[in-house]
Amino acid sequence: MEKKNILLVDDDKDLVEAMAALLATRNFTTFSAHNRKDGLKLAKEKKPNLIILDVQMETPFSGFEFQVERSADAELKNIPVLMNTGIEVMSTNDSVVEMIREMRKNPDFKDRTVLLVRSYDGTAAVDYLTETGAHQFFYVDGFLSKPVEPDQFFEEIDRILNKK
Amino acid sequence: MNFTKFEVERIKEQYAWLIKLRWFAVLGVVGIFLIIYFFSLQFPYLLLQLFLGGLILHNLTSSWLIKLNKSDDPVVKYFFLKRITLYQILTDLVLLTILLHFSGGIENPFMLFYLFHAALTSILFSYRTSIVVGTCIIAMLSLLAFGEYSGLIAHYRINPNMNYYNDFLSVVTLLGIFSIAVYILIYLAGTITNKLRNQERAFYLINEELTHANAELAEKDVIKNEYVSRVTHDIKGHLASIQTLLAVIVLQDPAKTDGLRPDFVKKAYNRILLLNEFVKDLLKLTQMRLLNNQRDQIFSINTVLDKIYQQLLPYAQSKEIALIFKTQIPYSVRGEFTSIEEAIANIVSNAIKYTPVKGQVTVNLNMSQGTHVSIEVSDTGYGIPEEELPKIFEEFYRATNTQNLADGTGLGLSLVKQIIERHHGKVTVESKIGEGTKFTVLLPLINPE
Repeated sequence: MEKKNILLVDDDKDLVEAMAALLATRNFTTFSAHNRKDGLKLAKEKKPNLIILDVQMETPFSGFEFQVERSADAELKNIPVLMNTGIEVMSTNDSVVEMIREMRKNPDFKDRTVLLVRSYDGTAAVDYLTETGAHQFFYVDGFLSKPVEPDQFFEEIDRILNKK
Repeated sequence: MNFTKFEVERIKEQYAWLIKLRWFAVLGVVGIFLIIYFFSLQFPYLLLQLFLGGLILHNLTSSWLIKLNKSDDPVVKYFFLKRITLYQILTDLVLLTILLHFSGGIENPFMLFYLFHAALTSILFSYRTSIVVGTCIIAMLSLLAFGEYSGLIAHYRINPNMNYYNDFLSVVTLLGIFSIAVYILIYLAGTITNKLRNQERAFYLINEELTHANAELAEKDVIKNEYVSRVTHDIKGHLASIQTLLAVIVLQDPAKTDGLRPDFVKKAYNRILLLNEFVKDLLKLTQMRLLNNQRDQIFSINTVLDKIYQQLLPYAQSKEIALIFKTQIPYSVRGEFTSIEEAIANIVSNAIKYTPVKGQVTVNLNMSQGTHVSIEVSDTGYGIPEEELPKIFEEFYRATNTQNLADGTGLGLSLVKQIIERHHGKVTVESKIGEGTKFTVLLPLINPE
């Protein structure tokens, strides 16, 4: 079996190092970056089989910005992404996302909670408000909330890699 | 100001309402016209047609007038609308008087239609304006009646069996009773309207207040939510690192010995220390916010500084930093010894932390304006970018150049600020990139007499 490459993008260097060691036990090769810019650069350079992405790095939503840029990039858009984050999200469904978007048109409605819509196949959609107040909506191949059990961590990685 | 805006909206509505009512009046006149025509009554048809045209023209003019106002100032708008509303009513009265004149004068029961205008005016305007308009009504009607009675102006009779103008007393009685009716109507309608208007105003103000309070609460809720999510994010970050670092060791293949990563154990241990520190700071901050009981004692600030010096000297020496305390003159302050110690120690240890090897950290104790003691902590460190200076006392703030979670709790300086402000003091900061940072703590001076 060929060796799979995983790019780890997270500003927590201890965690990146530990994840790399953990993934090495399963024969994955890893690369790491600690911010959005380096992450994108490395992704282009190494064309990994999977990107494991943190959200809050140099800005509160760096990981989301990474993901939006990646989805728009022809070279990178087919690389699957697994979000692994400690930020607060609200798991919900499409109709609630619609409703909250409507509510956010009112300037008095200041709630900025990140919305997450999980689908049955494990993929998820994220809806969040950027710094400028615009809605961004994108899909990820998996969404994990820190801290993650190693079993679940590997399960998600296998699921995403086997699907492709 | 806001209230005027509300009033403008209301008077705009009323203006449109008046125009709508007048279209009904037009319909009414058309109806009368048809009835007269149907029963072949004796009537100056041409005049009625002219009147109908005049009424329609008046209504179209009124609809157009409102567009003349170009000002956005609600006060200007308000008075403009009031004036054109009054113009509408007065023109109505003139038209009604002309109609009456050509259709029998006070013999025509349409005279009662004046009362509608009296009622409308007292609904829309103040008592004073209403009484002026009411008096106008009576004056117009009196001119008409006495003019026709004396023969100064022609009298067009519609009902040959009716002749009011034979008897002066009848004319005066009718006018007198009509005048009283006008004034009483203005009084009654005005009283009810005023009551309603006051209630409406009170309701509006309460509503404004509630909206404002609601917005404030929502704002606080957002801040609270952000706070909670920042706290959980940081805790989760530490936990994720600790868990993953240890998982590497726990899940190792027992046959292999290279899985025993002592560096990971050490890293996990360090993260536990940080997490511990974070939780402690967080609890302290929360406690300080929730509780007001602060021990109150008078103590020498010099003692506090001496203690900090002893405590931090080894740290400074480990980085070959010269730690200089110029704190000879004795001063006393009031409050909680350990809190003050913690706050100042926090600033000094930060200064050592962010100063490169072989740098210098100086603590100066002075009097400031005879009322405060000032403790200046200056370093020769990296400095803080100017645009970030206002934010450094915020919770969870970490300088952009030291953003790693492992670099600190992000709570230290907000704790310092809380403590100093609790003691009625002030903490400020100046900094230049590459040259260093100076924190100044001011605390009220106590004269130890």
